[in-house]
Formats: sequence, C-alpha cells, structure tokens
Amino acid sequence: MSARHHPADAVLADYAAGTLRPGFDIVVAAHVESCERCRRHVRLFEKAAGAMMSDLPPAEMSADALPLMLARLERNPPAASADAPIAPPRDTRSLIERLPVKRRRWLAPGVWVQPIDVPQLPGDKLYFLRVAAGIRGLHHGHSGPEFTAVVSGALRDGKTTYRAGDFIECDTEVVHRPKVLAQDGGCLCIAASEGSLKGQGFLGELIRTIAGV
Amino acid sequence: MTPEPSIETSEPARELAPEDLIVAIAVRADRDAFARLFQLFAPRLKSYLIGLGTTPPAAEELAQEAMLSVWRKAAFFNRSRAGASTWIFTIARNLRIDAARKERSALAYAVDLSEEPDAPEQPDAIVSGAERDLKVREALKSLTPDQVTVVRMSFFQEKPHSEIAADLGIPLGTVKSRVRLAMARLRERLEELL
Repeated sequence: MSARHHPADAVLADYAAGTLRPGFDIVVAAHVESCERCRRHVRLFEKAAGAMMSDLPPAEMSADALPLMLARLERNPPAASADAPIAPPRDTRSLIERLPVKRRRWLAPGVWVQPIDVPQLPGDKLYFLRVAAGIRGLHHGHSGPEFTAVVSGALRDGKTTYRAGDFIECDTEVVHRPKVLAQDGGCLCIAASEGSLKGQGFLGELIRTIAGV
Repeated sequence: MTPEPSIETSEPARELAPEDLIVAIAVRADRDAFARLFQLFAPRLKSYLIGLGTTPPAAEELAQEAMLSVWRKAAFFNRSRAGASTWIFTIARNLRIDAARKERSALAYAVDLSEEPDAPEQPDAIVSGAERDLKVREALKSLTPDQVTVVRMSFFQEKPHSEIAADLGIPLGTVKSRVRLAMARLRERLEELL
C-alpha cells in the first residue's frame, strides 16, 4: 500500500521540528508510520533542524551547570549496548492500535465517532471516525484547520478518492461533503480539528450538539 | 569518511568530532568526552528551547535532561543513521513535547526515525556529522534570505503563521506560500545532497 496524498513539506517540516499543534502531530504520525516517502522526508527535515540547532547562538548556562550534570552521571549509568536485551520488548502494535481511546459514540446512521484520549489544546478534537459504506457525510466547513488520515476503506471528496494511508489537510476555505465508497466496505479515519466543524443545516447542528466535534 | 575514533590511544576529547564523543561515552563511559559534548550542545539546546517559548530555567533543566539521555542512550547512537546534532536534536524535541504534554512524543514519534536506516545503504554511506551539516548548509544556501528566515522561524519558533506575518509585516497568505515554497525547495535540495 502506498499513499498518494501526502502532507505538504511545510507540515512534515513542522512535524520533524516538533512544533505541530498537539493532536495534529498524531494524525501526521499515523500517515508517516505507513508512508516510506514521508519518513524519508521527515528524516531530511530532522537533519536540517539538527544542523541549524547546532548553529544557534549558545545561551548562557548557570555557572554550576556542568558540575551538577557530572554529579548526575554517577547515579545514571549509561545503558548497555543496543544488542543487549536490557530494553523492554518493543510494542510492535501500530500507532492506531496503541492510541488510548474513549467510549465510541453514535453520531448519525452509519457514523460513529471515538475520541482519542491524548492531551490537546482547549477546543481541539482528535478522534477516530468510522463511517459505514455508502454513507455521505454532511456538507461542512471548518472554523479551523483539519488533518485527516485514512486508516482503512476509502472516501471520495469531489473528484478525489482517498484510500488507506492517504492524508488530507483542510483549512477554513474548504467546504466539502465527503462520501464513503461502498465497494471498499466502511471507512475508518483519524482526524484532528481546531475549533468546531461548521455543519450546514440542522443535521450539522445536530452533529455538533451530539458529538461536540 | 570519518576515521574511527581511536579508543585505545585516549585522544584528548576536544580533538574528537561530536559523533566520536558519543561513541567514547558508549564504549567506555568517558566523562571527559561527555563534558566536551555538554559544552558544545547544552547551551545550544537551551537556546533552541528558549526560542520555542520555554522559560530560561526550564530550558536549562530540559537541556540537562536531554544531555543525560545522551549519556544514557549513547550505545544506541548510530552515526550511519543520523549525525550527532540531529540525534541530540530529536532527543530534546521529544523531551520538550513530553514536558508540555505528558508522554505524547511516545505516540507521535514512536516511529523512531533514528532507528531506521536511511535509504538503501551505500558501502561508503557513513557520512560524518560535519559533512552532513555542511550539506544542510549548502542546501540552505540555495534558498533566498527570506526563505531561510521562514525556515528558521518554522523550526525554532512555535508561532502561528499569523504571528510570523505580523512580525515580518507581510500578509498571512504570503507567509503561507513562502513557508510552502521554502520547505519544498529545502527538501528537494536535501534529497539531492544527502
């Protein structure tokens, strides 16, 4: 499986620098985990950020910084080599499987939302969205940016089809009505949004009331 | 190619490249090598953290934590995967995220990029950290001064684009397209060079 829709370079650069908004970084991570191309690009940006960091003008450290540091080394011996079996077994589950989730909630016929339990800024949302095959989403706009990664299944937005692994960035200018394609079964997405979705019509209001998304 | 660090001859730590200092810590818990590495990187980590809005005392504390991780995890450093500055940068980046939002980096950065080899390994793929940093600088030279400014602001200042726009006195749309172009150009050049 190889994704065809990727985060923009600027998004991958912010991810590499660790400056993406909390929650949005998780959606990018979900894409990056399954996308070899983007992992390579993130590594390039990390190298750029690392080199630029070592060029920053040094800040003044406290006078006793180094002695304090050296004293701490005594109590913290270096870990054994990477070959030694000292590390706990690595969690090999995918990011999607490891994310802590809250209770799944019914949103509308064929639509479920499951908030993800990680720290975020007030008002932001991070959630899984499960939509049954053939369901058309609500026409909606965004009061802030929204990142989505398709975990499984496929959805169509206008003329573009997004499949598992694909990444979608929407900003405030986008008003859309994605549809889940029937032939691929249901669709699971992970999405982060800033501010609330602006649903159009009463169903949009209903969704906001029920789900708070 | 970087010569292998001469471990037996106890070369003075200050003569060694940062990558060699990390290897010296891994191989023989070399405190002198660590002290040298600390002097090189701790003040720059502090500077990086202050730039992202951390208070100076907290930045110093985090820089110390990052350097302690460098000491503890030195055996996991692999110079064919990342240079010293990149490896230390990613350690500090993850600690900063965890300090603000507990343990989030374990999720968002679980794809531990430092543990994966770059592209297919070439026989002479071991580029020294200094060479690599030189190439990054070369890539940055292909950007306009304006583009370098937005790249630096994106990496080292946690500011929304609207604030960057206000700082630079240019419209928001211009900042967005400038960041987009600069990052795309930087990535293309890095791909050619690294």
